[in-house]
Amino acid sequence: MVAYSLIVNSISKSFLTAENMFDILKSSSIMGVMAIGAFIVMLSGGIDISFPAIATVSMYVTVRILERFNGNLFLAFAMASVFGIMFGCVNALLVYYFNIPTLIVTLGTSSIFHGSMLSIARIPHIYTVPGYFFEFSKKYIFSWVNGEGVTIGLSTMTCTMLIIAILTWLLLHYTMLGRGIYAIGGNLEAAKRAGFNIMKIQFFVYSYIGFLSGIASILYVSLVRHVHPFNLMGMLLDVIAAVVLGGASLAGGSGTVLGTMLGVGMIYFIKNSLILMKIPSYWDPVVIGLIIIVSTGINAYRKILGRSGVKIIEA
Amino acid sequence: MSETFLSLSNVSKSFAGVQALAHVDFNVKRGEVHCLVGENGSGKSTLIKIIAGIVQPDPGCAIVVNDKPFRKLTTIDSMNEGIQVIYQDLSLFPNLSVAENISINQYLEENKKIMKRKEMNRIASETVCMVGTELDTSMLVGELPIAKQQLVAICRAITRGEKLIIMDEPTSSLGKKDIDYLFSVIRNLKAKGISVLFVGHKLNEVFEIADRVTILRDGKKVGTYGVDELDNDRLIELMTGKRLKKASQHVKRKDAIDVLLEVKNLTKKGQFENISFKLHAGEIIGLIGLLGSGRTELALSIFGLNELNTGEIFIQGSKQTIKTVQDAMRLGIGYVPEDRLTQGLFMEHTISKNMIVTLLNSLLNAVHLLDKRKIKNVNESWIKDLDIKTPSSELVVKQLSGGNQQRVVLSKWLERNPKILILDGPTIGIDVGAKEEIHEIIKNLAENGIGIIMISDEVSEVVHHSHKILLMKEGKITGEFDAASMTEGKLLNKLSEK
Repeated sequence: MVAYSLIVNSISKSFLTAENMFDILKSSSIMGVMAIGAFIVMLSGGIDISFPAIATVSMYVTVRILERFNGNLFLAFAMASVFGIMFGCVNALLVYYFNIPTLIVTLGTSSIFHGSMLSIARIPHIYTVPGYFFEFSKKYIFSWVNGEGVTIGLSTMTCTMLIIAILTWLLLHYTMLGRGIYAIGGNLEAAKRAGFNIMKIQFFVYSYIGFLSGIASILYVSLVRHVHPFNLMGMLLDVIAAVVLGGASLAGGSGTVLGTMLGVGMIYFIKNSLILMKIPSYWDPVVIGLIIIVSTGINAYRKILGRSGVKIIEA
Repeated sequence: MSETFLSLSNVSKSFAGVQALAHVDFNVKRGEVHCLVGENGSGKSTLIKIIAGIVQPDPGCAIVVNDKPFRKLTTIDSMNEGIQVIYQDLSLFPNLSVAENISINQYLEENKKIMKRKEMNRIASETVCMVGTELDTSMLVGELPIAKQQLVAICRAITRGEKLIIMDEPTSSLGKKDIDYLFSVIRNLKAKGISVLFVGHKLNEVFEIADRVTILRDGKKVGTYGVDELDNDRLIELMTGKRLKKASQHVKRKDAIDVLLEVKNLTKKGQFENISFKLHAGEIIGLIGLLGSGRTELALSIFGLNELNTGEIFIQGSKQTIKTVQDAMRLGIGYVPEDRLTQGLFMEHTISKNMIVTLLNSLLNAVHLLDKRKIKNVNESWIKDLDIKTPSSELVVKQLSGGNQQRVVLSKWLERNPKILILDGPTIGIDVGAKEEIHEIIKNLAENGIGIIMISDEVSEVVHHSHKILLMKEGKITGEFDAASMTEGKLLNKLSEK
């Protein structure tokens, strides 16, 4: 990674600058928030692919309402997250009571949520976003102005992501709920026998990703200043890629918040460097695909080696 | 406080008209090791589930736990009275640490919301100490060998000062050394006044560990006996309800002349070295060795699944190299793996599909599609020949008993007419009665001229059901004996001496 940054920097001098690094942190915060949600679902042994749809719909409904009435930023976050939680509960309901595989459930609900928005809304673009949205993305926790007159600093958006990451980490490591999520991802049957409340845990997991999608959607509006019906939908694969890159297992039960954050960071790092090296952005998916295959491939290969090693010792 | 911890009287349970248990009386004393034995379908698991509160008995029974009468037990009742079940699959969380696995029940029980690492570690190390064993509590359970995982499950079961621990076939996946250790742990628990209800398959273990034995057959209790009132044959008789042929007979051998398989100086680094032996037509070789002696690795090498470093293999006198399973199959070698659940069968598929999987090519019709009629013929003939007890060949294999599953595996290979058959642990996890029948099948195969290598870690199995015994230790063949002049005791000594 260090070597890579040096190479990129030698091609484009603006890569390894404080400005660029803080910029990466800022723009990756939307994906980061979503990735934490996706990670939790994966940890519990499921997969949720409806979060971009949840985010898009929550974003649309929230902005549509706030555009007509007086509101503020806090209200926006609150409304979007409540919508997100509601959609998440629909997922949880289907997963828990009908025992449908999570991929199928969320594939279906994703279509339904997004499709109904497109058909009911007719004009799903909103360009008249209230001003208080933008102000949020321009705020910095601390900042300074560099020699060229550009403001550099830790954005409130980055901060939102970091706070969510830390809270999630605390939740996973220091509460029984968090351990329960690990437990059902590791061995669902055993979790039932041990007396975990599976329903509660699953409702939590799916409403949590709904909640985070809501938050992420407001971050997004605040950054790009308009509501677009498809842009967020395109983030699905990047988010899943980041979570997998971060070391979470698709089978559930393993992975860390820190890993997920690093996964997100890595994807943005590489995307950003490709832009600065003036490589056409059509190449982005190719490079990301390669990274996923190579990095998970190395891990899997190590496991194969490890396993045969164990076998010989036992044998 | 009475001497009896748990007593059940007149317990019956029927599922959809099938009587799983009928009027069973059963009790467990404080601080005793009580074995529950019986063939599959005898009602053992139903009885355990009733005690654990998972299944409710039919009305009319009386249950007394800890001097308190109950009409029926719920899971909560059962846990509150200090009864814990360790299931065969252990129900552990592989992705959590040992400490977490051990203390999680207590946390859930007390409905705590916040985890305290220190407290968890304390609970864990206290119980580990109480069980009298050693475990690194910070390791992930998934990284431990199965024997250690079992200890974790035991520790978890006693965190709350339990009175009765039920172990459902705890030894089925353990090697000899680990079993011995497990037994010492059980004795330790017993010394602390904890009762252990042990559901067993292997009779020698029953005799080793039990104070009393309760035998179930077809949902009825045959009786409860002190372990000194029983011997092996008597116990088998009680379990199966029929007097078995005196087991001390040795199989007779026909004069064997043709050498089917000869191996010379087979070596695989780190697994086995300089293995040489001959297998004649119609001969059963009992290859005995403990887990880790290299016996399975050797078999895999002959079957082309584990490439050799050096050594030669001769099939009917001509030198062959076996690099792949296809080579081995072409040369007429069949291999029935140790773990039929994962390696030998597609558990979710039907008997029919499992049987034909090795011979798909020969079942094609003129347009190269599978011929239904041919398949049916194959299925019917094997179900009849091997006496597989099933209503239909379309039944999913998972639903069969262990003995019948093993027959399906056998049929799969026999259909290819192998000349050499390697059976790895052919009767592991199979009931006593069915075991006898599998041995009968093996004997018949040998009489038809097939050479058989039977791998086992049960002394009685190789002594009574093979012609020649090869003893394998730490990757070497350390002894070759004629089964007819060998006794169980002598072989056991040889097996355990250094």
